[in-house]
Amino acid sequence: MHGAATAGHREDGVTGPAPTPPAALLSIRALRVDLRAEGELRRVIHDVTLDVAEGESVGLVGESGSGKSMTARAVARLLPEGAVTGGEIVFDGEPVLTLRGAALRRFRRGGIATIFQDPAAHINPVRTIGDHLTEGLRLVRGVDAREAERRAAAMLGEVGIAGGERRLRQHPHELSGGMLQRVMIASVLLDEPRLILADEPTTALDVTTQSEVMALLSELSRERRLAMLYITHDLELAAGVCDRTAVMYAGAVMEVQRSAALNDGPLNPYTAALLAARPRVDARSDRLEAIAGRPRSAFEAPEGCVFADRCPHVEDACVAERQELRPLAGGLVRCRRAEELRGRLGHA
Amino acid sequence: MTHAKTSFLRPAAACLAAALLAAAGCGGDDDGSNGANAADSAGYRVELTDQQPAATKPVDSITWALPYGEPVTIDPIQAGDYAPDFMVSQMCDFLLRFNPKWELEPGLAESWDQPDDRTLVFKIRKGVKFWDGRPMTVDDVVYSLKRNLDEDAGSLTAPYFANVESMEASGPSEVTVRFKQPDELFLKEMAAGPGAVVQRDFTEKAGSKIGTAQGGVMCTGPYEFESWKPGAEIKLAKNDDYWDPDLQPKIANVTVRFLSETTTLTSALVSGEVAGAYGIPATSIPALQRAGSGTLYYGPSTQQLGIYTARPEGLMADERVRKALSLAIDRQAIAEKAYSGAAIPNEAVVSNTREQEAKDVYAEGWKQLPSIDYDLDAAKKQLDGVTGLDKPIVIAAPAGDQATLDVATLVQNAGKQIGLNVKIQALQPLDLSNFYYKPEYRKGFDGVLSVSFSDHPDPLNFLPYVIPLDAYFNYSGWDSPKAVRAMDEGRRTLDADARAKLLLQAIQLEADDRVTIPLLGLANISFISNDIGGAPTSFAYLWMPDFAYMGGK
Amino acid sequence: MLTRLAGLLLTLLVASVVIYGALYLAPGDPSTLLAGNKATPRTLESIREQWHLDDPFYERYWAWLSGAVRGDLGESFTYKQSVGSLISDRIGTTTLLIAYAFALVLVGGVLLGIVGALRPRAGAGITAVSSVGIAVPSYVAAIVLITVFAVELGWFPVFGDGTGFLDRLWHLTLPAIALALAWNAYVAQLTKAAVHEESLRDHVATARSRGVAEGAIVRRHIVRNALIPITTVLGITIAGLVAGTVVIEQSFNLNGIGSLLVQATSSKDFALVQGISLLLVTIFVVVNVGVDLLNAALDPRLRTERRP
Repeated sequence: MHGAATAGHREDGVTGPAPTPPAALLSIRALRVDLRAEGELRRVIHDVTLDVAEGESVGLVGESGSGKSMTARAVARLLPEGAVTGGEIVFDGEPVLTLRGAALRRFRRGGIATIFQDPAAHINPVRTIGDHLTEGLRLVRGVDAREAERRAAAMLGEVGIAGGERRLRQHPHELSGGMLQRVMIASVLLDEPRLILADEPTTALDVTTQSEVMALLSELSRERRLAMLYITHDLELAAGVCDRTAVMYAGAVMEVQRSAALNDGPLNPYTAALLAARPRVDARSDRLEAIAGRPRSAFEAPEGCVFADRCPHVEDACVAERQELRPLAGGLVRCRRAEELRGRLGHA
Repeated sequence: MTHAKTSFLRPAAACLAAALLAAAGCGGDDDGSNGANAADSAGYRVELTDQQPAATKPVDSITWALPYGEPVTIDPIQAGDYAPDFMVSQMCDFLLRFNPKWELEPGLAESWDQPDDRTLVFKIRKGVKFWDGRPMTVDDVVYSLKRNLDEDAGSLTAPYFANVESMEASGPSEVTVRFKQPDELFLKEMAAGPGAVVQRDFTEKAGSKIGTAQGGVMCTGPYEFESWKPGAEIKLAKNDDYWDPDLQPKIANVTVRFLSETTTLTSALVSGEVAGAYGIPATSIPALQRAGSGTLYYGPSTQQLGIYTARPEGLMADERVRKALSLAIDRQAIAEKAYSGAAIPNEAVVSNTREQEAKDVYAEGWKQLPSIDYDLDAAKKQLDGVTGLDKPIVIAAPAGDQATLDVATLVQNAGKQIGLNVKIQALQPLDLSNFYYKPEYRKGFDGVLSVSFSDHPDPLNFLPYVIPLDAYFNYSGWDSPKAVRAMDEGRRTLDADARAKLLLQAIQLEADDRVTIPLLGLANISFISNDIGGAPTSFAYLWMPDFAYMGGK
Repeated sequence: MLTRLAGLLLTLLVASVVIYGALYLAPGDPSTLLAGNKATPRTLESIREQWHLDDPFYERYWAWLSGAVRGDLGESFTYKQSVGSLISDRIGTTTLLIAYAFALVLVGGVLLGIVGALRPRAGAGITAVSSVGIAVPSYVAAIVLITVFAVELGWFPVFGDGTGFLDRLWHLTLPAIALALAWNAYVAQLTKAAVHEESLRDHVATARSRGVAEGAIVRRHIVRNALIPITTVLGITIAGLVAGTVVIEQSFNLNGIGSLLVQATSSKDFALVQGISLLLVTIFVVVNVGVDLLNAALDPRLRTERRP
């Protein structure tokens, strides 16, 4: 399955860091996020730069704590209260981080939809499936109830749930996790977004259901030419589904490449380490046991290169200064020694 | 026996001196000072009055509070406590009537005669009607008197009829009572519940429901029973056809509300929501003194507080312990602290009420009683050679009565001064009533702190409850045939002075042995709204048709 | 439903035995209280005979039970009146008092709780005030309310339950406030916690990410879901209000079931204690069933579990 879904899907997927090409639907520039915890601010993201073009699917891969989910939340404007942001997020030409009130609501109904990790938690357990599916249509877009239900039932069919009419009247606890994630996908598609934020959409599901749901998601989004930011800890899965893949570590994007290229020739030692650890499809752990030490969060990352303290290729200069994301070989990389190490970072 | 009353002379020296010099007392019928009828202040720091000045304006309606709670009955023969006695007095006429000085006046009997010392003849008033319009007959009178003997109907008054041989109609409006032996007490009780006249027909029809909320009563009194909402109130309406031209009721409607919660009672009086109440708890005195809605009155009373020995065994069964504890108590201080001055030290098992016959004899006799002066040295001396003093002396006290509980604490402190370990145990009403009636409930107790009252100041009313071996309050097994003889002889003696001497003998014998530790005589405390006048304020109120005296100012 | 009814009857039967037995075993001979002071032994005896106070437990209980199944709850020996009529005379006052207090709890507790959860700044104040509210015993609240609003300001009566609907409401205002106060605070805090908890749920974030208006989110997702724990709390509240009437009715001299129970218990009035206790047990069971039904209606998860 590796690579099959993405090969040559779009030519313009690879972009330089700046300036933002007009084609980018979502453009994240030097995003910084601090969360308030126990009265003090804590950095969770210190530098994320990433573009997603119209119709493009981009994987955002990282270990837990790397800031990938927080990045998605920043994009969806779902950061917890008290969060402080810096940098810029632009969606469809409009800056997102500064939106408030009606403009914020307009933005939310205007084109980004999120598929969350745990569908059982993200669908109101006391309301019906139909309620969940049609909420966006009825309350946000003013579609009348009967029409909304018709569309919802049809959409259930498309995501592979038979007996739509009956399902609409069921409650979440009457459906399996895989079914619920399909419902979630259906609800997202019903809202007709231009970008789907898929935040570990299959992590909570069992293995067979995982691949079914993932296949369904990528198929449906491709059919509709929807852009997707796919957040996962599973590099292989991302590479399999996405045109390009970005790797995050300690709150920073370390590397962005076309998925196939990333797999064959990682530019950042961290990516290489990830590939080497290569979690099996059945792995439940999202820790990289192949690299010494535990992953760092943004707030505890070293001063210089954020990976310096765990990097097998570290030099004094790496520790001394922060690294910027810079273009290399058609991708982007954050590593002093990228050119030097190029081709030498392979599968361990 | 040395006798020095200095300790309780001090606070009201002037008035007391006057009282002692002129036995007639400080006030008498003098209605000068406050407009109210002043009474003999008898050693109280507070001024005593026995009735408000008359007030004659009609009043539409008032609400009156009953601090003792809901009466268990309004049937005269079953009435044996403040609340039922008071309610009965408002509705039912008695053969005789007390005035605020407990002097006997005609009631339903317009006159009475004692042709010999074993015969009483009552001339029954004509033209008196029950509330339903039916005339009162001698038959009703005789029926009512005989009901007192019916203990199966719950009569509490049978002992007053113990010496009666016969009660019969001796004419169309005449009733003759013959006695096995002369009985002074009987006549006085005819001005209280035992002398009440109820309608025979009504009472027989009501059966066991008589005197209940549903059954009611049928009497001739100035206020007619209208309704009784159990737990809340009794409504009375004035009797437009009342027979007494001098006592025509002026208040059209009276609602008597049961307010046994002291804080609620006080608030209701301060706010003016109720027009008044008799039997104000002493703890409410400070708040009511400040109230602008009415006036606190202190009246002469037969109420007294003492510690009764609970059983023939235990520490308090020892006379020396009782005498010691008695001497260790500073009664003057307790009267001030627990009763805000509305109490006086008391020397005997009955109260030293000044409103009684044979004043000089009683005044002289009282001087002979053992001293109750606070004297710790004498108290300690009493305990010489007494063993087992480390054991606690457990004294029961009524849980709901804060003033009495305050006294209990002070008694406890007094005991501590001479090495007695007094423990107080508050008893709920049911436990207390069981305590009084049943020896098994007195186990573990040494004494009980209790307020008692007499229907009138003659000691005859109360002595039978303490002197005989099987008397209601004689739990100690104190057996004095001499005292019993003196008491019985007193009851047979119709001459007031001679009777007083006999009764004093019994009182003295009881006091010499300190069977009871007398503590305080208690004033009758009333609070009456500024709008209302004429109300009796002496403890005689209990058996008087008070509402009929009241009117608007 | 039939099982529930059977359950209620069984509960009542067990409760009646326990209560009757407890009263029977409790020390104290009520005839002495009934007789008043200085009764002769014969008077006491006649009272005891009339009310079967000396009969063995099973005889007295059986006599009571056989009456009760025919709808005759017996006669109170302190009032010499049927228990049924004593209760029915007072049930109105107590019901109105509880309903009034419950309405105050709904407005004051639930509404404040919701506002407190959604408006953090108001929430801190509400928490502070409600902490005080919980700490104040109702009889203290009663005294303060009476002193300020009845005695000093004269806006409300000190005691009594009034006649006619409006007059009754006026009379019951202070009692209802005193009764509701602590429960108000309790419900406000728990509602606030429940609403706050629900507002952090993931599905609320889902709705928000879809652009659903905040008001609709509060209604459809936060409050709607918080209603489940709130209903349970309100059930406890009703039970607590019923129990609280005992103190409040005493404090305000209200002629209701609570004050009647106190009096009946203190005078060991078997039939009356039994009648009122069983009424209270019934109320508690009914409230419990009501909460269960409401919760099932509000929470589909409970509904399916019940399905065989």
